[in-house]
Amino acid sequence: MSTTKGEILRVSNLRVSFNTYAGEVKALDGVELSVKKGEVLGLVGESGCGKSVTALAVAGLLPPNAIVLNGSVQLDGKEVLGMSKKDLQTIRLEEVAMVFQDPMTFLNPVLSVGSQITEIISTRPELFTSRLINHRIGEIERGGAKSGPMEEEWARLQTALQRGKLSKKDFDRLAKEYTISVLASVNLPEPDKVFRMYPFELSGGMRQRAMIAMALVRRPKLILADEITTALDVTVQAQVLKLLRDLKTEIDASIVLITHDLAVIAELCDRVAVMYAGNVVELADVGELFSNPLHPYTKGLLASVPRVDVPSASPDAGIAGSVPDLIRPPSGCRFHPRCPKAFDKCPQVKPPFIEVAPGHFVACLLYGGVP
Amino acid sequence: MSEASPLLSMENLAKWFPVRGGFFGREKLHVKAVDGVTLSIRRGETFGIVGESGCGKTTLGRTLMRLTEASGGHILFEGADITGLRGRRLKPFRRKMQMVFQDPYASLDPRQNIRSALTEPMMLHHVVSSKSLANSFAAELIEKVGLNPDHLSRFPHEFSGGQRQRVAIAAALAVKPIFVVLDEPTSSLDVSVQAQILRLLKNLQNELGLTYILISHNLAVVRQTCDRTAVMYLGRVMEVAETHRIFENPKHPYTKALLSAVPIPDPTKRKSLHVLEGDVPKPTAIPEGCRFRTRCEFATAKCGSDFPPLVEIEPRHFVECHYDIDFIGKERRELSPAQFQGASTLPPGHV
Repeated sequence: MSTTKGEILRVSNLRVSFNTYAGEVKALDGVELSVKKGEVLGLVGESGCGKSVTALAVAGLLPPNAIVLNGSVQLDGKEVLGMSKKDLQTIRLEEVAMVFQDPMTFLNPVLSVGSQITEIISTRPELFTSRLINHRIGEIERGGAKSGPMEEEWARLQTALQRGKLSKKDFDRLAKEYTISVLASVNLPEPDKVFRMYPFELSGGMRQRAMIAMALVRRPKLILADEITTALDVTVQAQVLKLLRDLKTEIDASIVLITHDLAVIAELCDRVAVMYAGNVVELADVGELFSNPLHPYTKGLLASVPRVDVPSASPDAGIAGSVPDLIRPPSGCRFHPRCPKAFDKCPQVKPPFIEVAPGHFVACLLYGGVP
Repeated sequence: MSEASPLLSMENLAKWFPVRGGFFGREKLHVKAVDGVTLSIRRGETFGIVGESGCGKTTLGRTLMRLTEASGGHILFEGADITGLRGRRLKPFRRKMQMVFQDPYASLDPRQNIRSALTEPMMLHHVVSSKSLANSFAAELIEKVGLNPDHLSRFPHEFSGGQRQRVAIAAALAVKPIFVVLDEPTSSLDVSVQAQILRLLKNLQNELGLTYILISHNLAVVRQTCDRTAVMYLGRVMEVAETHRIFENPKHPYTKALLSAVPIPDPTKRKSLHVLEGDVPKPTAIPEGCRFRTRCEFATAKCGSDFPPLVEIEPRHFVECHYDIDFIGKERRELSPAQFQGASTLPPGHV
């Protein structure tokens, strides 16, 4: 199946295993997912459900011990699985960017923030030259007063744009200016100062913004944000969520927001995919999912979330049991050992992912698929 | 719940950590992790302490438990001052107060099976008179926390995160404490398991008559479980009241900002995400006057010069702020310690 019009990403029947000393971990068991252009898709689930592995597969970043058994990942019409290393690099530069939970691990501690970002730009001058020039021209034109040195620069840039070439000096200067403007766009205070700072000098929230800036500088079509607010305090989390919400309207990108926090999903997402033990078990618009959850797991998850906006009710019991060991996953529906509504067919049949209402998909035998 | 005798109280409790700063470490600075906290915990209640990372909530818990020495102030447990007690005189109090930590993998000995993790403290504190009684009490405890006696011969690595936290709770209860400090007990757990553990803690409290302090950064958990709540910022308590008052009628600008930053799991209630600007100041350089003023939208010159008073703004609702922020905008109303009529009837420091 390929991406249809209006879709940036389609993952179908993706099955991924990991070879470990303990055995084969069956991490993804036929993931079905699509992301529409310009939307924020929430990918929610508990630890070990495969949400990060799904994102890594999309970005072509699966570790060497991962085996893709089956399925396809179509990114803007191109099949990502099986792509050469070089093509994957191009994809990651031009189309998909990933932002991770712990920015300290993914920022180089001995390079300044600015040099890490300009490095991205200078490795691919052919990709960035016209973008840099257009950015600067736009800036000069917005500045209005086209006189003296500005006018001169404007004319010089126009010719450079036609030739598609910039001198090294101009390129470096424009790359720095462009980087600072991106740092400013993620609301980093004093972006020219941050440009020269090292990761350890930034607070957690600022580091996460720097990571987001690093993704935005490439103008990706798809941003995979993996638990980006999990390590942050609630007031800083609110700053980052607000930033994402503002960016969503400004940039022309789709976002996959991976989180275990349903409240973050409710705040930001257009559609939600709920994952459990390697499957997407339910996918719907955010309003529909919260008001009319169908899968017993989604229901249990929603009932488990403590709420800050209502007085203490009797806390729900959560979902009995715990997440299964994916070396020996339960047969049939992987949720059946914890499911309050399981019946005799559940351990035998893997429920198909079916559309029960327009745009509302669920993988549960209660809603059909019993042979 | 007798008002007159709190189970535990702290008076002006402080914990400063000395650090070296400045050029070549010539300057001697202090991280004021806990900087003058006065609270009293009533028998049988669950008292919540919330705040962002670095606000001193964990240090407060550890100082209370005498796991780290206080730099100033007093801790009174059942009326007795335990601040300076050591050795044999402290031991009976050690038995009565226990702590459950965030990471059960770090707080359980990986080479000790669960049976001995539970029976060792029982024998040490003479909770039981013989080894066989210890074993049967351990079996009783492990069932009480929702596991089964077969689990006693296992080791911590054989359990899932939620089960391990159940074991850590059983270990804390092994010496029959009356007071338990729960330090982020569910933060490393998945939400469906978190709900199980919170319910378990509530059931155990009802059954055993325990008093809890619940330290958490998760405001929703605090709202759902605590009777009273204190909000901490940079080592001090900004606001204390019954939990429903804190959440329905917050009076401190910090509490308001904190609450408005919490996302709500309901897409129909999306908010404008009122954002508190900036980051928490360094704990070695706490702002003069009110420590929240650098991020407070209502701050005035007075906030920079004068230390804010502790005000009982409504019955048993204390705020450390110069102003009644609900009047800001209409008319700025200054608060003074005698704000609430009933304030004078309470002994000083009885918060």
